[in-house]
Amino acid sequence: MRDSKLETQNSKLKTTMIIDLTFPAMSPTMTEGTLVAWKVKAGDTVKKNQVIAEVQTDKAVAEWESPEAGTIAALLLEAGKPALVNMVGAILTTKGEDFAAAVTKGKALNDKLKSASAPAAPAPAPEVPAQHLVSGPMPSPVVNVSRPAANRSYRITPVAAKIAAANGLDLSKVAGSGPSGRITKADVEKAQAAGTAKIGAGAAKAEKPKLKVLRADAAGATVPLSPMRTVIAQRLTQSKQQIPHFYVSQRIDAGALAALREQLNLLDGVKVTVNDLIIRACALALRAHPKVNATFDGKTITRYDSADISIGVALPDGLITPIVFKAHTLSVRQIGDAVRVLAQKAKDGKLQPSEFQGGSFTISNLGMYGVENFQAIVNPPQVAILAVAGMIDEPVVRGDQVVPGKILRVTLSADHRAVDGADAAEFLGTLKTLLENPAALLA
Amino acid sequence: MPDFDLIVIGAGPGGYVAAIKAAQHGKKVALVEREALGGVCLNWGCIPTKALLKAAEVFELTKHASAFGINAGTPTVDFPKTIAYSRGIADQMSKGVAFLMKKNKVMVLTGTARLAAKDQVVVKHADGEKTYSTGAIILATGARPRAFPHLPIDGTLVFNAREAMNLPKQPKSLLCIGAGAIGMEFASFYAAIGTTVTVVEMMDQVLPIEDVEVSKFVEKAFVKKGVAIKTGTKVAALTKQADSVTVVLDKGGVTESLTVDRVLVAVGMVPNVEGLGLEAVGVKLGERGFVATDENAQTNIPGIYAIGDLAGRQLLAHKASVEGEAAVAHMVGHPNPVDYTQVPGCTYCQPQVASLGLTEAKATANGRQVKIGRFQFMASGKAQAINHPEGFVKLIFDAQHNQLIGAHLVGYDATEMLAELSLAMKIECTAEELVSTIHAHPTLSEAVMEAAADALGQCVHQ
Repeated sequence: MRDSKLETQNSKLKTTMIIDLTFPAMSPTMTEGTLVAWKVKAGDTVKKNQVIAEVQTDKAVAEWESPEAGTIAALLLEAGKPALVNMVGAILTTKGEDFAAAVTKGKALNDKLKSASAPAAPAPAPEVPAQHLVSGPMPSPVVNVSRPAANRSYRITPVAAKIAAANGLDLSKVAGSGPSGRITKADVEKAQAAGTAKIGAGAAKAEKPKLKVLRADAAGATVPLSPMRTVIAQRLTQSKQQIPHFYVSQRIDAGALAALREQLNLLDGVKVTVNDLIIRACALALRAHPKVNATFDGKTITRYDSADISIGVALPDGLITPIVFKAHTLSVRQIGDAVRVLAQKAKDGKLQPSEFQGGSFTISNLGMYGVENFQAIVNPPQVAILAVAGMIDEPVVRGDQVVPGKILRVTLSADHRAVDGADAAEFLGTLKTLLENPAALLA
Repeated sequence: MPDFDLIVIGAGPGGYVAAIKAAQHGKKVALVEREALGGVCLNWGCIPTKALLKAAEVFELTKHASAFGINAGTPTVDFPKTIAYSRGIADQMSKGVAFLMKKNKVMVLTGTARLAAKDQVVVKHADGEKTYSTGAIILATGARPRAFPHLPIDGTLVFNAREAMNLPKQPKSLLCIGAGAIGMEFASFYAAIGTTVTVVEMMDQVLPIEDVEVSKFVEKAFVKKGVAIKTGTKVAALTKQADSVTVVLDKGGVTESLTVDRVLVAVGMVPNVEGLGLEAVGVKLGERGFVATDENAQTNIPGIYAIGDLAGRQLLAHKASVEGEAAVAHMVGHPNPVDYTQVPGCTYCQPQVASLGLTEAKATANGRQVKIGRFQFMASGKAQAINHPEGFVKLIFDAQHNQLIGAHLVGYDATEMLAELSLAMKIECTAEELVSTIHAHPTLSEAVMEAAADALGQCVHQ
């Protein structure tokens, strides 16, 4: 009954209202993102919960919904541009009110937020007149006009907020059961157990059209960096500038490997890829050469027993490296199953941080593109990364005969501070032996 | 059309609140009461005893006025007038309830009710029986002190709380059997006004449901005031003389005889289920004979609810009220179930005791890791200024997220300080929110903030 009272109060308030639709935080830690595209234009009438725009976070694309029914009076943010959480994106009128003042105020606020955010300060709380309510993201201290399940604003208990932040839950996907829809500890625990609120869950749907948009943009347009590209840019620049890379290549006669793969795939329900076999071979080689299976923090080298192999997975706008943990304990088939699950999760934006953070070695495979050879950049704090090129039909010398064969080239990039050329060469030697005598991979 | 949408049987703090809530939802409500509106709480429990305890406090304060540099002479207690003050408050409160019923258009039916069917209530009025049809029923008939064959109640020499708050003259000596909230409050009142008081408790600590640290503190404070506390002790025999009572106390086989003027029996309550017609409609009883209910206060029969002391669990007025609200919420289709882990408890002896959630023993019983913060009022400027430096705040937090899971306060006005912690627990606060909330200075409540800080190792003033 408390709820019904509240609703009555709200509906009274709603009768004369201009609502600022502020750029939403899709996760508790999000401070900025990109407004991918507007789904409405000024003058459109919208229903409550109607999608008004697509928003790119650092992990996924999500939908921004209108908290109320009304008319989109004005759009203040430009599509394709980055935006800070709390910026006024659009003005919604519920009864055709005069919105000129709201536009001026919104623009002023956006400018203020922009200047305040340099370099990366959190957005300050906007000042809001009492009759002028804001539908905002969670960290915003202003009044929210509708129930949390219905828009991107949520009431949440302190404990629930802590748990959500620790587990990377997307609160916009958690229904609140507390007073007036407040998200409680039980709610986040339930969402966590059900796996329904992981950041990026449900975003796959929105990702496909985005791919098209970006490819169109790429043909001659300026593309601002997405949050993911920003991270890639920072990390790889740092790696390439600070780590003394060296490269050692090996040429592998992959005829036997290709034959084995074909034989394995004769078994019903089995689909083994060359990549699965290479991961298995690397896992075994890493166990024999712990100097390559290591991390380096600038002071200490840590060598690992377990071969936790990061696998580069390409995404429409970047890449991510989920990990096959304890790969040396897994069969070729188990490795294949693990990689497919991880790759799908990566594409759906459903990877948990624990699934892509850590790892003792990375494999980057461009074999499917048939490239002849390439060098990868070390993925710090790891000390080595293996670039796997395509399997190419080439003449090979067997005995004193030149015969048609299949050649696979791999290149190890290593951090010379932690690994020496001889270590790299020995590792590649073992790897070559395993891949050219692939029955060993089934042991 | 039934005569009423809802008939509430019993006008205590559960029943009358439920009646008002239902009326506010536009329901046609009748409230049946055989005695005074307000039930035990307003008439024979919470409220009149608070009046007595305030009188005791005023007496003690006046006695010690010289500590403040005030010459107040030698105060004396006019016992009948003190009792009259307490009764006056009770009457006034009961009239307040009558006004609220009128204001909310709740029909008050005076008489004794019983269920004839799941939608029919028979009320025995002074002028005969009448049957009313109804959409729903809330049973709120309360509980009464349990009778023990070896402690025969006569209302004069040996009595329960109701008589203890309405005695014709102050006893020279009093034995309180039972060191729960009722026993300890009367012990506190009578000891303060000069009666020689002995408290006997079967369990190993006074206020057995409280955190052991709090109970130990209260026991020491009582002993310091001259109250004899005998824990782990039971009454083996009781003999009445013309104007005194002799009891045999048994502590682990060692017996002792004690003669006192009067005996208060304050152990255990039984639900008022008799004559309600529960069997007729099949309402099931649960633990210890209380009516079994779910968290919406509904019995096994849909549409029949039971609230307050009748439904057991914690026998507290505010629990009755919240169950009344939950019953109505469920009835009107907006369930708002009761969270029984968040029912606060207060004892108004001096020093006062207020608690909520888990005791330390319960919090750690299943191996849960906790953080505990304490703050002594001795270190509080306000407590010193008002000459009540006794007591402490003890807060228990879950170690993983620092969520508040238990609060235990003992000290002057501790009961008024619990509300902040009730809210904190309700909205799932962690120690950090309590610490970062600005507490006005100087207040006793600052101790809450300091105790939370202590749990985080950030305490400023101790």
